[in-house]
Parts: sequence; structure tokens; C-alpha cells
Amino acid sequence: MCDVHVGEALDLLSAMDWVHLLQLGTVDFEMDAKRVVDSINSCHSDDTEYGNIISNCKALFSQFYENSRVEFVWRQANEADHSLAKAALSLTSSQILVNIPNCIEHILFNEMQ
Amino acid sequence: MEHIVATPLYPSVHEDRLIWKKENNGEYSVRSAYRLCMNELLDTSHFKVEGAWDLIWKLKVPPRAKNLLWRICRNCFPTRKRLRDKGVNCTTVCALYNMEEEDSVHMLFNCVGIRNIWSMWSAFTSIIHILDGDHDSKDIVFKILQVLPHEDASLFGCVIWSIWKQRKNKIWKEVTDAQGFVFDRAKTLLADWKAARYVHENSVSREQPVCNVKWIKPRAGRFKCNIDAAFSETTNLVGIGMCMR
Repeated sequence: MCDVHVGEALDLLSAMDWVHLLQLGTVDFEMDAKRVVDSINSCHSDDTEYGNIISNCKALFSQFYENSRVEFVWRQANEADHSLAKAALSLTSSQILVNIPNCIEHILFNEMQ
Repeated sequence: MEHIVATPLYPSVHEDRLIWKKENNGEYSVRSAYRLCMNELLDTSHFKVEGAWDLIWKLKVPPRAKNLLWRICRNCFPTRKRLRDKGVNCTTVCALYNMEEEDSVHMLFNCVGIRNIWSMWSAFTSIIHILDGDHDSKDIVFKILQVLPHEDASLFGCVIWSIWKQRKNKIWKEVTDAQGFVFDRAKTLLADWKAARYVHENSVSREQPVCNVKWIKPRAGRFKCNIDAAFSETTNLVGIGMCMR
């Protein structure tokens, strides 16, 4: 079991790894882990495991996301992903869902109104 | 050896170098090495003193009063008797009344003038049996903190501080504080501190945002990727979710 901030940082790292392959253009990232967002936006670096993940994120970010931002949102505004992450715990491998899965359908519907 | 070679590395790691794990920047420091020794390598249990220390640290009083109570209970409080024990060449009589030997029980509780100060307090009747029954300042402090309700316990800490202040004024400034003034100073200290905290706490809570808790659509021409991680202790797994809109 890893620390919460390490897990959240790995989350951002894999998101950045994946999203630039989709070649969608400008993408902004939002997450509710304040510590990770602050680390990404600061120039301070450290040599811990967490610090290494963050510097990897920064490297990807400067390479592929020139006009993008990483921003903090309150947990209440990040509900869809919270549910997705919980659902992901019970999956054996990673999945890309094109259609909206049941577990977040109602949340997305409310948010997109 | 196999395990070392098998360690997965991030692409950003190019060369080997020494890293001191106890500091975030990887550089050795005496500070972190000291902490390592004290917390993990050495047995420090013989330094520990039994007692309900939480009673002191949870008091709602200024830090200086807490610190003073802690020093009294750890017996590292510079009464004349204690100074003499440590080899300081000074007299051991009470600094205020020049009568009895100045140990911490005498200085804080038993000295005639000090007793007068305590007797001004409405809670005095509920602690007098403790003052008369014990001869160790640590026991007295812990017993009093245990029996008094929160408000009174806070004032107790402040009175102790004010008594100590009275003695310092006497020795260093040659000023004698009146007994009533000593008690009032304790009350003022507590009231001022509480008032300052009240303002501070209110200003902090005002910063808590109430709005902006709803997801907002990205501007035209941009995408938004929301991400979050979930942790399960039972399965030792981390689940990650991303949502592109």
C-alpha cells in the first residue's frame, strides 16, 4: 500500500502518459489532491519517490502539454472520477471506456446540464 | 543483488548517486541523522517519565504556560534548591520571603504569600486537599489538572505562570508584584489569549470557500481531464480513474 500522495501522483503520471497519445489538443487536468497540484506548479524538487514521480510528470508536461494547466478542484466537483477510481479497484486490467459506464452516468448527466 | 537490479527506474533517472533517505533533498544532515538515532536506533525509554502529559498539552492556554508546567513536571525548573543541586553557588532560601528552602512545591504552592494568591481563586477549595496532601510538584500538577474542569484548569496554568513571573520580577527587576495583581495578571493573560485566538480562528474559517464545488465545463476548444485515485487496504491496490470531457 503506497502513501496517498504517491498514489495520486502516479495517477497524474499515467493520465499524462495516456492523454497525449489521444492527440486531442489542449487538455487541462483537474484533481482533488492539493499536495500533488501544488508540487506540479512549484519549481521545488526533492529526491524522494514522490519527488521523482512529480519530476516525471513535469517532464511529460513540458514536453506534451505546452498550453495546458494542472488545477485543483474540490472533491465535490471531482465525483465522477472518484467513482471511477473506486470501480477500477475491482478490475484486473486497465480499461478504456468510450461509452459512459453505469457507475458515473447520473453524475455526468447532472454535471453536463 | 537480483532485487537491486530488478528495481524499476523512472526514465528520468540517468546516473547512480548516493541519496540520504532521511532528507527530502537527498543530502545528509546532522539534524536528520540525530532524529534517526533518537527515534529508531537508540533506546530512549529511560528518558521517559510516567504521567498524563496530555493533560498539559491539551490545555487551552498560551504555550509559555504549557511549557512552564512541563518544565515543572520534568523537574527541570530552576528553583534555588535545584540550582544548588546542579552546582550553582547560590542561596536556597525562598526568593520572595527569605524564609524556607525554595523548592518547586514551596515556590508554587506552599509559600505563605503564594497560598494567599491561590486562596483568591474560587476553585481553591476543590484543590486544597491536593496542595496539602502531596510533596511532589509533578503529582500536584497532574492531580489538579485531573480534578478541575477545562476552564479552571486553564486558569490554573496561567496562575502558575504569573507566580513564576512574580518571582522573576522580584529577582531581576527588584519589583514586588502585589498578590492580587498576580492573580489578575493570570486572568488577563488567559482572556487576552482567548480573544486573540477567537479573532484568528474566525478569520481562518472565513477563507473556507463555499462555492466552486461543482464541476465546470471546459472552455471551447479545450478538453478537461479529471483524475482521482482510490485506495483499498484489504486488497492492497490503488485504483485510478480518469475522465475526459
